[in-house]
Amino acid sequence: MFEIIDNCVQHLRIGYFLFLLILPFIVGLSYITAKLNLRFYKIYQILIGIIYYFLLLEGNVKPFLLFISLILINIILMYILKYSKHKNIYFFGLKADKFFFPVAIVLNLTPLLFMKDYIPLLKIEPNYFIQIIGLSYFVLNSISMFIDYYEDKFKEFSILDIFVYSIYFPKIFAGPLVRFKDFIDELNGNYKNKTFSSLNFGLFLISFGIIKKWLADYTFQYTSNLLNNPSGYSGEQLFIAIYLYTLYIFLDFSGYTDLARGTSLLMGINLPENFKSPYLSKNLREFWRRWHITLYEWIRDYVYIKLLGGNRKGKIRTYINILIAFTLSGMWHGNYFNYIIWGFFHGIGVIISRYYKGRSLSEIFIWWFTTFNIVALLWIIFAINDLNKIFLFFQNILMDFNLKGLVAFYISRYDLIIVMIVGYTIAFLDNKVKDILQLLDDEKIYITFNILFYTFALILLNNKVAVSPFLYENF
Amino acid sequence: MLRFKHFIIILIILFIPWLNALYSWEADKLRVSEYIPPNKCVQIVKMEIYEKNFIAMKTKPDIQNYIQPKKEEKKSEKKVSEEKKEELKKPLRKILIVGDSLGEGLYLAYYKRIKKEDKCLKVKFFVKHSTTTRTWRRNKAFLKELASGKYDLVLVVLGANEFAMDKTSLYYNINKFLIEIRKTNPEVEVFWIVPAVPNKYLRKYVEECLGKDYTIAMDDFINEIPLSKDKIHPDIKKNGYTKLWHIVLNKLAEYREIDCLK
Repeated sequence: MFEIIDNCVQHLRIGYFLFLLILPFIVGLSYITAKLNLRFYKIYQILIGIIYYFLLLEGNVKPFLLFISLILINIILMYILKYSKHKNIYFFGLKADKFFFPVAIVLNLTPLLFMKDYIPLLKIEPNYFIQIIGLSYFVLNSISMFIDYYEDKFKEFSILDIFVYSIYFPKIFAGPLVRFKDFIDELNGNYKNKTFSSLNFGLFLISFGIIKKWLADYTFQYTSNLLNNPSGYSGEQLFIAIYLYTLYIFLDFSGYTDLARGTSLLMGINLPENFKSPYLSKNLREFWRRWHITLYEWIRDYVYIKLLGGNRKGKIRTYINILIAFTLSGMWHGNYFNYIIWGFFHGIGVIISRYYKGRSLSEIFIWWFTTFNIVALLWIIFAINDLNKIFLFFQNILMDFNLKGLVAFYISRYDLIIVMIVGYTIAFLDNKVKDILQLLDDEKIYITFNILFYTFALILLNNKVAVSPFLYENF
Repeated sequence: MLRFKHFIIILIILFIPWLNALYSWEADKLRVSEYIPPNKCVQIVKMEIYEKNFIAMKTKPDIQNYIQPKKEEKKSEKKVSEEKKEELKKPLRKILIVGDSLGEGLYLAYYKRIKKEDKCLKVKFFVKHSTTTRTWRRNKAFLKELASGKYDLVLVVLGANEFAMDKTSLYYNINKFLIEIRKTNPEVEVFWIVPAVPNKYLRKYVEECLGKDYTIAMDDFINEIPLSKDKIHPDIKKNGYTKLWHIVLNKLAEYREIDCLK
């Protein structure tokens, strides 16, 4: 029985019930510390981050200490970089900052190599890096911090700043990725830059995130069975699974982002949006400007432009750069070949999108329809790590498809049909709803709406049929 | 600009989950709990606390609803010698089966084969694909039938649609379902056929809530049954469900006398 109660600790995850129970205390203290002193506010954010992270690691000390030591190493490296920037010291014939900058990047990439098992020779046992939740996001944030500092995009920082940036709990597990300067500006501004409307919007995002995650979990049970064992299901069931998984991944990830942004807004910090109704995109280039926006921007700025040279070296080189950037973004998800295929095909799609010319309504519809279906098919490649299973999945759809089966599905699983209708309505209107609510300034209406919406979200939360972890936590 | 009073309003709304926790604590006394589900973590904590209090004081009759099969009784049951077991055997005549798609398969096989083989065994089915323990613990027709007291035994064939749940929800659902059965008919014996799904906790929690002797885990004999492609359901064309029926009846025959099998 105690084991069961221990498991309730998992319900401390952002958007889960225990988390919502402690949220008013976290937010209340956040406001008080911000009013007292900025330094207190930062120390408080660090403490909450440490406690929260430690609890979610279920008190596992070794990965926790490893994570803290990675932050400390970064603090030391940032100060070395700062010192060497202003002094004429040379290492191996290089100016000190030019020497330490690549060292910092390599040191930050190393945990990622261990975690994802990219290099077989680097295998270690036991591998505590795997247990560090959100390590991939931490690494990308840290690298952007070093590059931005090296390029003078910001000049001042403190130990507290780096610590908060690294361990700020709403974004620690699955982003959104945020640049150091933007984050610190928000941190320093905190509640001073916020209005009643922005806090109300934060509350709305939390409710919206809970509802999205509820719908995602509803589809999870069905799709996880099919994706694990595609040979056990008929073509039409697998066909529907494509669109259910497409819905699931959006609701799960954008639900997480809404919860993270909502919580953060209540704590005085506005995190960037990660999604803008991506399934409305008319080509893959547009899709990537609407899906996981912060990762796309990271790869565009630091890999495509800075590392590969962007589009400055001719057409062919541009296309090759796009393919490399997208393949790398696929590889970032894990050491499986399916991620490489997924990234590569997205790269191809982005190149083709450069020729997009949607002039008439029918043209726009055809482009949208094609893009949506390509994205959905590529999600199946993304979802199944075993290439044989991917082959079986598509083979079964082609060989064992029966239209009557679709009718049978409609009759027997009308619950899933309802979830799909509601879910896709949210997916398509997500951005519009948020835009409208951000403009809403009638206090009474906003508050009444939020009370009802939050209560509704809580009722749904108690009524979960399945609970799945947030998908992007695994990356 | 954010005013202090505005922040307090937001903070008050953030306390709504505490009302939810309070409601979940008291939900069993309220009729509304049928429609607005209480929170599982709160209810499990309540079960734990009440169980402890029960063991300590053995008072409060209203807490019976929260009690699992008493551990002491379970232990003494296990001590019963094999010979005594034989003596205690009561004839098994009427079974009530509640289940999901696995139950539907058993239903088909029963009318196709088992009924002809075993004419004195009467079985009533409450089965529907994609259902869960939650579906049936709220199903009035099933609960009414259970309360009628006509049945010697309830055979639960559920879990295949719940295995993706987190451990808390899974435990809560199993326990709550068994409590509902006991509340409705305290005399009836309950056996549970646990499907061979990729979640070890399903079996573990059924065994914990019901007792090992009353758990028929398909994992133990899955290789003896012809299975369909999904590796969970028996293959209907290859008489997988008939095979499952035989295994289950043999298992029940260890505890109950099934005349027609002899």
